[in-house]
Amino acid sequence: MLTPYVPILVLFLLAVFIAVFVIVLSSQLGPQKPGARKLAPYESGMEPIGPAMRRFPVKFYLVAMLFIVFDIEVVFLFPYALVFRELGAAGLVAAGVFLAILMAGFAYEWKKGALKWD
Amino acid sequence: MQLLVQVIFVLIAAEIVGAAVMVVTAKNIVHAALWLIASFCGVGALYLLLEAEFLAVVQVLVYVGAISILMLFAIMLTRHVTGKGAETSLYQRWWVGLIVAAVLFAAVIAPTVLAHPWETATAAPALPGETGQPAAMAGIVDLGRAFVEEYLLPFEIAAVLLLVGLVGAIVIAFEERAARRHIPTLAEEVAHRRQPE
Amino acid sequence: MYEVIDHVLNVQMGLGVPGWVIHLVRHVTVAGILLVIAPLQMLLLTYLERRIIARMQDRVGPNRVGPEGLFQPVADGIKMFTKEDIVPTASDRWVHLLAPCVVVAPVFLMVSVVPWGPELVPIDMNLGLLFFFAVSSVSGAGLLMAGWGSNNKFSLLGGMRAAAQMVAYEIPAVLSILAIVIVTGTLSLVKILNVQGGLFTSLNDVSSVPNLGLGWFVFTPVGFLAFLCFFISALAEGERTPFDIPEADSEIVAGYMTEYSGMKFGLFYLAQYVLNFLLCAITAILFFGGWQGPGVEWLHSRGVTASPDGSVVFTILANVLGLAYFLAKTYFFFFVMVWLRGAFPRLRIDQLLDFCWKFLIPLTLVNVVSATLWAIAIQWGSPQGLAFLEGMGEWARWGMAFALTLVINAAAYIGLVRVNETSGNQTTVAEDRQDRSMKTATLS
Repeated sequence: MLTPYVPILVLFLLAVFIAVFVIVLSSQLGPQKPGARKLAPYESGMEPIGPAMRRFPVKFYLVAMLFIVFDIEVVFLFPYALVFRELGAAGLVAAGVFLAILMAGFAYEWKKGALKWD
Repeated sequence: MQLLVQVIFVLIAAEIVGAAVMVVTAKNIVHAALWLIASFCGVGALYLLLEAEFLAVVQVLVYVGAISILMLFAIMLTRHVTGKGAETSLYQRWWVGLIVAAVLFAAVIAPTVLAHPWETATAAPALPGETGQPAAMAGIVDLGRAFVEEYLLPFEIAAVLLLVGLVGAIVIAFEERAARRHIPTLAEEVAHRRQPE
Repeated sequence: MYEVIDHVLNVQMGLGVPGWVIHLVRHVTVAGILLVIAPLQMLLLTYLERRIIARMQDRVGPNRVGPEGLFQPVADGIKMFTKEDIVPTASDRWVHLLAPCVVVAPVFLMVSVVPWGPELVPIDMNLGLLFFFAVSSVSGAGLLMAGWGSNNKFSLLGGMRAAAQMVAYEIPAVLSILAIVIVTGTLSLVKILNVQGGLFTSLNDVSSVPNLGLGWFVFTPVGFLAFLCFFISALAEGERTPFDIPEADSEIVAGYMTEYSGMKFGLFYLAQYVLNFLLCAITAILFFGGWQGPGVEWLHSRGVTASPDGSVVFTILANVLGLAYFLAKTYFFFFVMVWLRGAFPRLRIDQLLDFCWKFLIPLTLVNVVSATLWAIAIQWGSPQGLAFLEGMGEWARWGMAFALTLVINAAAYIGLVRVNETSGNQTTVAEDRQDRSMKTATLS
């Protein structure tokens, strides 16, 4: 049934409308005196040094990657958790094996030192 | 009701396709990634329209919430974000990509289309949510049951696949870490200078 | 609700509108109420936070605008509306402008699944709990957009930190709720609240136990550990103080918000405080029974059985009492958040991630195992081949489950503290020594 999602859609449209409305309204209400200094990137009053959109360390990527693997794992466990009562021992073993394989990965990470932030 | 659902479907599908076109035509890679996120959101809405609540929520949780951030991080690792120098040889031979995409899409869609028991117009189809539709909760419960009964092997193989992804990420990142020139900290430098004395 | 609108539109005004218009009016009304309540909560919370933190720091805080400074947030809002709207020249204009909307919209969607009282439920969704977390994860993309679109080094750094932190602390948060889902077997917030009646969790079916509305999950070892882990992750998700690295003002100005002015900044602020409110609310709902409390169920059952005239009064009383319990719990958790801000220094990003990986995630995983054991001991029987469990009394089963999970969780906690002390302390001591030798070297 889709009925519970109709109010969500209404709420979403209203929320987006309000956000856009507020931004537009505040841009009209405030003074508008732009200047080169004012529109330059803020770097604590210094002349900006180099471009801001520069390369980033791989650390962030590694963190995101490792966490996403866990994210997916947890999502897999949710449908199982809901029917865990009626499935009995067979389900328990299946989910246990699933979890054990990922725990092996977690142990590998820990041993390898991948969890250290450089 | 049926008509309304179809109108909504067309709107969502247009959003997905439009965003996808923007992904491949955007000059700025970050913009391309943002359009891809919009496309993911559309797919989530489509799942919802198909009454696959759980898949819709997972689509948002994993793709919009996590994979998109992964992609943005990956882009910010690269050098040419703003698209200058993105005109590679592959870009000029766009028709190669088109053919490959068409073949792959056909390979995926053909078995589904051929195997689907198409309902002809003889019998009026039941309105969604009125008759014969399982309760929404049944979707996720069936999924959980299928994981440990019918699709036990794929379920466990998915775990192995995730493990491979994990190990791969570590191996790649560690190569990068090893290849990077070690910059000594001030303390190390001081300790190094002291040693000869 | 449907009947009321139907009565007003069709009977009193005689418009004769079809059913779907009435439904639409109903949805818009509910959405409108939520969109008014959420910013009001934000105004109240900012005021409370400033007053409480001022008291902790031996200051007075805002006390001039209105009685006791109560209208200070309103004044701040007016000020933000009349500030100049600055879009830096080098910024990515559309990404910069879209980012606040992408951050704010999910937060309002999250408000819609929170049950405020026994019948004050905006939307009861089968997957409410998962929906809440799925939608909350969307704002991570918005934060990255804000960081990248501003074309500022501080912004980009803040956005990256915020996104990394959000992705990271989602895992312990979701693992903690997985334990609750295993015990309850549902993802609906309304059903999770209904289970928390009685006196102790999972005993509300027993006839000898009075229904005092105190069957909160926090009274079980599984629920207690899940609560601790969840609340800590909630602090990180809401960027509250020990984890406010993305906007560390002593390092990166205001993080991803550095280039935002006027109401664009206000929207980020709004999203953050509504998110904090929601995280406190969901903590209260999952582990502290939400609107459950002594008397609510009694009033509610009287509302069903009493005569038509009295039933309305009883139902309203039950909802008011439930709402009072819910808000009291939620505000208490917000107070704890402010208290932590007054008491703790900010962590570094490596400490933040280490704590998540090496402490929270293993602990929550153990907790999931304990939750499974708890559910087996309480709920399984002959269908699963454990007929001997049925032979035991309800109390004996409950006691066994309690003792078993308590031992496992306590052992896991103590073990992890030990592991982290031995591995963590050595490095910090070594670093300390290095630092000190460096200092003496430079001095000499």
